[in-house]
Amino acid sequence: MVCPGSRGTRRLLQAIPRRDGRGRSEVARTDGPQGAENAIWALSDAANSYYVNNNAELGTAIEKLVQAWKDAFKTNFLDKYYDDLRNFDQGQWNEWRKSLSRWNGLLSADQKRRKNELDEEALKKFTAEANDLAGVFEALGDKYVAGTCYYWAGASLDPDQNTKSPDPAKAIEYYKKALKFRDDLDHKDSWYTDLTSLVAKMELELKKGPVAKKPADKKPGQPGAPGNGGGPAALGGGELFAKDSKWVPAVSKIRRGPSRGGRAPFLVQRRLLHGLAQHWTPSESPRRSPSKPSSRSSRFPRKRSSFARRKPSMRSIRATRRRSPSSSGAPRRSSSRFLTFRRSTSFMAAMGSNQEAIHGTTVNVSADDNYAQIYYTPAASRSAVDVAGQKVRVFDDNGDGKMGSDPLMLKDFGQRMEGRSP
Amino acid sequence: MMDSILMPGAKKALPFSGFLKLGPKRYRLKADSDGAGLKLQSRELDIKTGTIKLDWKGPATAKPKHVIFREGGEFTGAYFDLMSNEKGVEVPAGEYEFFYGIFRNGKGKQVQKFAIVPGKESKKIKVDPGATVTVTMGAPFTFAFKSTQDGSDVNVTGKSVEIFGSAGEHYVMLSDETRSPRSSGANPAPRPAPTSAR
Repeated sequence: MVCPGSRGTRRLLQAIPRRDGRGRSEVARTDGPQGAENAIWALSDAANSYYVNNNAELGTAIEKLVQAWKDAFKTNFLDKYYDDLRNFDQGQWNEWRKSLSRWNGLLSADQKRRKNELDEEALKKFTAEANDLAGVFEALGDKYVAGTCYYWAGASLDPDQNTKSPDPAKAIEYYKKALKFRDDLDHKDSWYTDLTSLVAKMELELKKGPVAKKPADKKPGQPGAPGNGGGPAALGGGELFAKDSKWVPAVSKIRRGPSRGGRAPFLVQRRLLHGLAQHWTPSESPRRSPSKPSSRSSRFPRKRSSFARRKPSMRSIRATRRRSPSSSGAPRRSSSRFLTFRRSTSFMAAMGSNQEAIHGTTVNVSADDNYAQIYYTPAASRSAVDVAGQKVRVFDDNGDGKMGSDPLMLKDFGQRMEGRSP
Repeated sequence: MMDSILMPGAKKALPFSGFLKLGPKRYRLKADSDGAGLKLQSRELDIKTGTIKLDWKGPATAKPKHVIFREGGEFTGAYFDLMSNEKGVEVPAGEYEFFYGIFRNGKGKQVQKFAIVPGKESKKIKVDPGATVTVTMGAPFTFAFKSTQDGSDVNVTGKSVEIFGSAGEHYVMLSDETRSPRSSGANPAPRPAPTSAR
């Protein structure tokens, strides 16, 4: 979670007016470790300074930031959010600032909650404070921050996150409030999608047998207990898990792919991946072998080969958390400066030529002086995953940086058709 | 877009699934709850299973490479590729729905491919313990489209043409193949054989 007034938001506000067109939208999308969240907090920070301090220069920056968001994410979220904030008077801004310091306290408490460092009493206080603060922000008209508070209130009662005193019904209620605010603001990001799925899953679990309604009856780790995937009963009857079985960590190691073939250890920012969606094609085992690069890149075989041949010009970028490639020795190109990283992985990249067959049509996807498309596929895998003594290997084929995650869904086929496609 | 998993000794990966069958035993596999995917955990299952078998109708050259079904209840996150075993795939007893399919043939510019997604008519199937359920997909195909009539001409709106299979599945994103109609009509009545003018 990004804090308002953080270094990232300030840097973004400085960077936005200096750029134009695509450059500006790229800044809004990828700047800072938290990407878009920086832009949101930058807006509320700037709006506060603009109206309270009458800082006229910020007016232009805000307009450009709003436009950059539209260009980058194709939604009116920041526009709507700004409409709400610009109606604040002096008193409301004072109240907002005061409440924001409470919100910061809640943010710290949330970090402890995630680490299971809060006891039952502290959890109750956390829930009450989150609910109360959500009401304050809701009354002020800041739906975004109110939504985060409702989410926290829900998470603190979510059986998956609170095994001490869970209340799934109440958690769903809070989650739904958080989702409603996101709906109102037209801010349907991956957080929104994940939470929507979670609510649907929790509602399904609530409808099932009495064991699910009384999660406290069983200790965590036992079959049917909350948070360990155990359900009330197997569909075939009886308990789901084998007797005396327990969750066992599947020991594994990250395999970053071969050193040959031009694979650079890299770290991927999730948001960038959405724009480069391709159909899932399952991995074939030879593709990860050192002698054979990814078969997925065969869409651009010629370029890929040259890419691999020019190995000396490739640069391995070993980045750490919250460090940009530029500070890790990567070429100082404007686009690469704004990549941010979460964890170590690797991918293979290729550029297109001016004659690529895409959906039966020849398309020019080559780079020009101003714009270049880079197509990439994850190269890292989780190998030797030990499941009861047998080794399996997990590939991050959907490129979300997680190995073993749920499928990514493309709504309306990337707006090319109606319906959905994984 | 799905992650994939390579089973021991296999050459071809399967879609990543929260349900694994390794030898005679079955396991539940899950990534860590915060979604970072940094930890995987497994646990042995004791459940009853059934089998789903795919019966593909239609041209063998257009047989999909992957037809994936998923369970939406107790085994959320479990995906099964019916093309991985022609004799049928063992699944936990429960309700299943078609999730995704893909066909791919050829390479580079000659690649032919299409995707299959659930259509509005797609139905869930129930797999009882010990039972084998056969799912029929493919032919007969149905073409749905919008059209306008202009006098004696009928105009079909190209972008509106949609292809559905027998199980209600929707064939989309066809590549390197245009959906061109082959028109047919009744032949006119045969002419009488010419007779001599004499």
